[in-house]
Amino acid sequence: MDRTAVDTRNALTARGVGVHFEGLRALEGVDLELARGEILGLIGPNGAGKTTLVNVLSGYLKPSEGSVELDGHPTSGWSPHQFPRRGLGRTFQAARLFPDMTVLENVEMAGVGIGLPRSQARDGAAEILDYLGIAGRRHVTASALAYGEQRLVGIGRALAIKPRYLLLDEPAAGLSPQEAADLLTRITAIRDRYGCGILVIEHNMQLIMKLCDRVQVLTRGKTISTGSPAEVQTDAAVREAYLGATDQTGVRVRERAQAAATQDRAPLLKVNNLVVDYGSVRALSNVSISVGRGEFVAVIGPNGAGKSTLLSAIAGLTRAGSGTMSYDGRPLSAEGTAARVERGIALVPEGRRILSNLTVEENLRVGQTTRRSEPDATRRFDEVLERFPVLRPRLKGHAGKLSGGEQQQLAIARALLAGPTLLLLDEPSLGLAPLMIDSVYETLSTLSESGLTILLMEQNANRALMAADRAYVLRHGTVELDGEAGALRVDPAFDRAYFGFETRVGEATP
Amino acid sequence: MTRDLSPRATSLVLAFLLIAAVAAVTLVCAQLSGGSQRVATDAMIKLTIVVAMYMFAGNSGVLSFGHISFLGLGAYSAAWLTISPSIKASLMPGLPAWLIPLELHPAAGVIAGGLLAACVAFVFGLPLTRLAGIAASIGTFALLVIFYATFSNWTPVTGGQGSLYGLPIFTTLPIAAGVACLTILAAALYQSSAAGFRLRGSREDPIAAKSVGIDTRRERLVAFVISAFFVGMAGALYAHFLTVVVAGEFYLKLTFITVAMLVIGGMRSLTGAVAGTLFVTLLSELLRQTERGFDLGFVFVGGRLGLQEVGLSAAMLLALIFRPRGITGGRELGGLGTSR
Amino acid sequence: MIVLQHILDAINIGGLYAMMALGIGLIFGIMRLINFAHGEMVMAGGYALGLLATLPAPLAIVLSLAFIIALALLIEQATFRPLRGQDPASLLVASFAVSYFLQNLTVMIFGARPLPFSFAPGLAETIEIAGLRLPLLQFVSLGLVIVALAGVATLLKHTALGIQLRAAAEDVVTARLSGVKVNRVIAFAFVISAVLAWVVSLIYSAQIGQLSPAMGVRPLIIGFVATILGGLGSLPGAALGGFVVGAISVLLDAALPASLRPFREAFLFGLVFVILVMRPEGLLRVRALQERV
Repeated sequence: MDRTAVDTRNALTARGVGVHFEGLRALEGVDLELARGEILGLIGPNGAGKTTLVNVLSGYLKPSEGSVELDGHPTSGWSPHQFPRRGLGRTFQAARLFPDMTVLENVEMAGVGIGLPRSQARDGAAEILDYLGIAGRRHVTASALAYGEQRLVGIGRALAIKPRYLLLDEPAAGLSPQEAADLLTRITAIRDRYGCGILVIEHNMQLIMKLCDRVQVLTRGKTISTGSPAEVQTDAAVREAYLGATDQTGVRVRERAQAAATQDRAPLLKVNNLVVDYGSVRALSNVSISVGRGEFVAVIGPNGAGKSTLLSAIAGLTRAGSGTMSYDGRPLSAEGTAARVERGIALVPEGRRILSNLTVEENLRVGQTTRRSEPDATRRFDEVLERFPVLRPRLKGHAGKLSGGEQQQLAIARALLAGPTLLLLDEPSLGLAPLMIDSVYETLSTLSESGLTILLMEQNANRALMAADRAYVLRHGTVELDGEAGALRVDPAFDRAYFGFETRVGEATP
Repeated sequence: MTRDLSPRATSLVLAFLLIAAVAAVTLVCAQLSGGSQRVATDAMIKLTIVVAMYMFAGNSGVLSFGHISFLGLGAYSAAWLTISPSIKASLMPGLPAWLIPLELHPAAGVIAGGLLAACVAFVFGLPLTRLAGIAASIGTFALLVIFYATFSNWTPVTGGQGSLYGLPIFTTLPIAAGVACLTILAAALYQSSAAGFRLRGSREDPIAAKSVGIDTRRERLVAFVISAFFVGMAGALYAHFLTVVVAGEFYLKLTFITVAMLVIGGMRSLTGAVAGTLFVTLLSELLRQTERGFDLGFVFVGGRLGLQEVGLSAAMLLALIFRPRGITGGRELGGLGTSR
Repeated sequence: MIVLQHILDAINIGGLYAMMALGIGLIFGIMRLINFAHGEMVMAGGYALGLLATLPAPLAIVLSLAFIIALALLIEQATFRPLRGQDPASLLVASFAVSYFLQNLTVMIFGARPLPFSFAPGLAETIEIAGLRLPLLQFVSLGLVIVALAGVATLLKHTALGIQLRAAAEDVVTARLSGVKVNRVIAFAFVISAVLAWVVSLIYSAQIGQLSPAMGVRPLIIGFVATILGGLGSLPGAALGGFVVGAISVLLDAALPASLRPFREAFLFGLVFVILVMRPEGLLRVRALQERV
């Protein structure tokens, strides 16, 4: 689609922005244009670099290469606090209000921040709160607000700087469908009132597609698509970016010989109506899943669905508000993490969380903490090294020097040394190159075939569905769909469950 | 009612109430014996210090361990400006020639002490305010040690570890109380000002603060310099109270006492600074009485040197464990300025 | 000869500071707490040794060591454990309060005046080796320093508990997920830290020949400088920092004109200041302390 040349004096532009740290390329060669008066959606799977890009645009991060211009002025030497006076406002993924201050003071702070006297800033703040419809809450302390209100106040605070450009980072996260719809109307109204350009990062696809004039898709730090919502929605490359490659020739689909047998036996892990709240946000609402002995189960869902929260609750790191969990017939609720590890639950956390100051061998030894004194500890150690041959020559080296794929293997090996009966994995494919992902899933398939029960959380749906027996689709903290993995892969209801709308060409958008 | 008052009016009412309380205490103590008056005067000087510390620490969230250095600078200013030239020349032969013949009125020394402290605070504050969180507190501690080492070793200029004597008595109870009240007023005006407000924003959430235009470094520097000014004045007053200046005064013990006053009272409110000073002074006095031992009737419980300090540190630990936000919990008197 | 003497001095002093820095660094690594009371561990060790001096040496050693370890564990349970999870500034103030408490408790029990220290007075005798006339103490302390540092290194690298400690210091959540019992590991850190303090107290008390309630302040301050120099959160850094400070100390003593020598402390802390400012992000490079936007 053609765009008329953007007037750089009235636009926020990024050219060739790249960000590298610690050997990781978070962004590479990214261009972006936000003109005043337009609403641009920025989407992409977890780890794509969206928030990193917003941090570059608002001065919180210096790009390793490329440049950013605000109304034609290069921003390279600016500190973050200089941007608001030039008309750039932003919000944060976690509202980040000033917790001990009232709603009014939160918004007043922005006016004072750009140099207004307090009385003027306060009047301006009162007016904004009025406009947003929350004037009645102005004397409430920010930490006491409900989640949706917090986000709204965050937006109000950004409005107080009289923005020419507004960067909103996941404004709809944690909102109910009704609240999200209200937000949609509000954002459009704000654009009309202030004439500002608005950039919205979101995982809520429905919101993005209805709200935005244009959409830009990031994956692995690069732009893979830009265009109107309709174009992006039906772009196969975009669907693939989220769900993983559909064309996976050469990948072995796992033998599922025992699939039928496991149905009858009592499940190894049973989660019933689990509710988890983070403050006023409901992360999981009445989630029920079960994992049979020897099964390979995947929980698929977009970012923010609550997958990590679910694993965290099972591992004992997060307390549930209500609901029950049982493992091997006995309840799980009261025990701490160490006890659960001893009972046989091992978790490979998101991002692997390797102890980079320790050697590879020491990382493994830590994993063996609970089984250290058992007679077959040495044998188990050797067995694990057999399974991950790439680790043996690196035993004495620092774990921080391993590549992403090798680190993932180390993380799994570490978990296996605890002799688990249930292996939990949080996004094992995150940040890995496709070849590495295959290798990891090979390992998991082999483990499953040897009888280990596996429960994993994934965004990369296609890959997970090829390896798993059964899967659940989690979105906004609820289970939308579940069934046999093979069936789900081709089920038309899958996309709707995952994205909230259809993505295949020819289907009407809701 | 408080919600309809502007922040400035609210803080002025608060200041008025606290000043009235201080004035009342002063009036009462003025009727007491000379010894008690000295205790009260000393407490008023500490009140000035603690309120000044609060101006910085309460609004920025950074606890400073270095403010006693400014106290020392103020005291030495008083010594340099008000000791008679002949004594000065013998005690501090290294002073510059233009300084030795000066013999000014103590009030001038007080102002000079404040200004010197403020200038030094500016110079050291420039690098200090670049530090975040715990590193900043460590940096202020480094400041304390650097100045103590300088005070106690630069003998030609500071008299080293010896005493500088010959300072005129100037600090009476009313004067000390007056300066304390002035400091309370200044603190109230600062905290309701735009600058104070912005600094508190940076305390609440430094990252969000940047997103609304707040320059944390600049705001911290401003608060640091202002608070140093008042501590410097207190230093000169202190010198005219003790009539001697000894380097050893300006190190860990006073640092601990003033930090304890602020933390126990509640670091986040002006009322906390005042309440903490009052509480700790009373506690210390009580413990000091028991240090002499008391008669239980059937047995004489011997007093022990060091009991005061043991009691104070125990109180501090209890406060940190059970009431980390202090006696006042960070709130102001009468709910004034709760929504600060 | 003089140079050799200086080198020996630097190693000795450096070793002392390295042990102080390690003691502080161990606790900081795992609890993000700067333990100001570590100086009082040294003081307590000195007083314990002094009181028990009349007993046969091995018995005195064992009893005083046990006392210090018990004291360290008591402090951890009574003050630091209830405060776990509070912000670093509160922890800093709390450790300051514990330090003040212990110093003044000692004043209450033993009075403020210095007491003579006379444990193993034979250590003050000079012996001659390779043309150098040195007090026996220097050799003993050299030996102790080497044994202590080697011991701690072995403990941390080759025992399961040591590896768990380093794991928890880097990422306590991951350590938990592997079944590491964090309370146990913290207690272990305090025990090692107490033993290091005990070694320092033996050497230091013998060096200055007397005991006073505030004697732990100087070693603490210098250990503190060494820890900052080496980087808070890094154990090898702490040890290295100790030796560097020892070397700088000896260097300053030798190179500074007599009039400036007392300012050594000011220089040292000036150095801390400069380091903190020049590498504020790099210095506290423990990842957990950095916030994600």
